[in-house]
Amino acid sequence: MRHRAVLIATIAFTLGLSPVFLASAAGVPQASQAQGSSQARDLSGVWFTQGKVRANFAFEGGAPFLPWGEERVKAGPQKEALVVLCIPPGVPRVWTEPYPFEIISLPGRVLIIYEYQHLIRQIYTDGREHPKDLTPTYMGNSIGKWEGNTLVVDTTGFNDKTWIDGSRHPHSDALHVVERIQRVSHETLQVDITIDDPKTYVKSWTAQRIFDLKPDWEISEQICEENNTYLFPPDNSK
Amino acid sequence: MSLILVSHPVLAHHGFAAFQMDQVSTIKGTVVDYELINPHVQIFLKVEQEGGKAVDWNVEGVSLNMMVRAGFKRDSLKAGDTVSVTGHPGKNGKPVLLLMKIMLADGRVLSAPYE
Repeated sequence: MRHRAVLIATIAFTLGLSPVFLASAAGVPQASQAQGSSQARDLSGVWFTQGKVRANFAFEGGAPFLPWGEERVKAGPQKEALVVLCIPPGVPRVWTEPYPFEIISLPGRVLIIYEYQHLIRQIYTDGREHPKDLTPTYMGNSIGKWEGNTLVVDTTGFNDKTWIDGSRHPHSDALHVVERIQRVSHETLQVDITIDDPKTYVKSWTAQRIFDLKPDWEISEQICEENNTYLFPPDNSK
Repeated sequence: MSLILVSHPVLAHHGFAAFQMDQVSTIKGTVVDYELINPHVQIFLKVEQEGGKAVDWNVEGVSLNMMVRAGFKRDSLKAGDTVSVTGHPGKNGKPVLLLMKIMLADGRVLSAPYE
């Protein structure tokens, strides 16, 4: 057996094949690619935006409004009012906030603690589906499934009281968000977001955010209610 | 803890949209007050103009948590300190600045945690 493994390794090395091939060919048990490795699936850590903080991602290759979307822009909630009143930012806007977040993996769940408003998202990874007849909420209902080393988070059940981002891009209660979260290196987290709202936009589109690991940071207290010490300007469009 | 001698911050809650992010100004003045608060850290400066007239400036940082991560502490500034601040001027024409970096009275330089 050992001789066979050495022989295969020698051939593989000559051919430039990967260690995964080596292990498989030599009969060593190997986790399948679909299952991923526990290390690569470990998203845990405190993360913060890489590079400039960008509040707007609604139209990174985004979609034009349907008529309902046009109306919503005119009649929707004031985005500054949402911030000052400490209304949760919703998903996907939560990824644009200039605060770190921490991911914690538990059996059957992944928790994301966003420093902003100390929001906690529970992403169930135990195989359940979304409950039927969800009561609409600001942050929606999230379930996660692993595709290889990517956690695919499906979120639905939103109310229509938030904006998609910091630039008054609206959404309806039909919003459906899919976030593909993967640790592309030990220090780097990539989140690819698909935004689909068939009531508001003519088609779905994707946006991406990259986050850096902050090994020395801890999630701190953040009391949003202190924002109320600020008055609204008469014209929030400025 | 210093008394709040100055009036309410001149800027309401906002993002970077209130500032000219493509412009950079530097001012040197005397600290009147420093508030390590949410949602945005505030520094109030008195800046002497030519001819002896002083103008009250409002320098704004980002959130308390992020400014602390960038090295700002409760005692980093105190009334009477002479400091130099570089930042983005406001769009409203008022004497306001979004902090990019500050040289403290002891010569140390602290920078904003992000832009």
